Amino acid sequence: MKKYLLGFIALVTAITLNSFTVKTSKHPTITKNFTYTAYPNDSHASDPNYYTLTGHDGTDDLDCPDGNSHRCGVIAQDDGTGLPDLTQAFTIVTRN
Amino acid sequence: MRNMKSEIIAALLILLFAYTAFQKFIGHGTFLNTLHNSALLRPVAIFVSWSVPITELAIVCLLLFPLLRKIGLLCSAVLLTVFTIYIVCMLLFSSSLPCTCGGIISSLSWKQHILFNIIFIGLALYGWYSMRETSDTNNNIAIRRSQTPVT
Repeated sequence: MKKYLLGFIALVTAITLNSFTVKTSKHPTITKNFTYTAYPNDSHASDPNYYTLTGHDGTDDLDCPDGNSHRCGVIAQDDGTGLPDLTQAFTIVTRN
Repeated sequence: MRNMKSEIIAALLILLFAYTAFQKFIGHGTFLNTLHNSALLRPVAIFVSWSVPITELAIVCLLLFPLLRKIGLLCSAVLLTVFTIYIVCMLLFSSSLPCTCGGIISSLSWKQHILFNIIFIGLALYGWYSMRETSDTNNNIAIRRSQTPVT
């Protein structure tokens, strides 16, 4: 029984640690989908106010037909107000 | 002493894998969403979202039992290597790098995360090597004993 002791202590510790929620993050843990609302005018592409979350709190896919002529949306972190945080790394999605 | 070392290493890996696996199950929706936003994993997001925590728990089971610990240590090293290769690929080729890691580990920076993984890969391989040497020694002893004539 002794040979199982360390393993079971580790397992119980892991389960106990899961009781605590950690919210700190230095890199993005959750990204959401944001649709660019000024399409096809790309001049506002760097302004977060011209983006809106897709359905189901940004979990629905972006509706972007193929092509790379114009900005269609971004996959980015939420800045806390429902707008994309464009100061962090994000993915640009384009369309024709 | 060697067995004790591999026991401690196995315990550390159990702690790591059990913790992150439970985090992935508890926050499965978030985990799936994050995978969905990863260009590399998007086509297989649902499969990965279940297979990764299940694999981690399977490795925990292997590490828990002394008879299976050696294979568990090797599987741990392989899984951590896959995770590390994924992070390096995403850092090199993707503009966005969503963290699919669990709990407190997500508070590490990417460089710290890679270093963390490398340390654990090293520990797992060291543990596996120690166990291999121990079992080789035991086999030699067993062979020598069996060669002794019974009178």
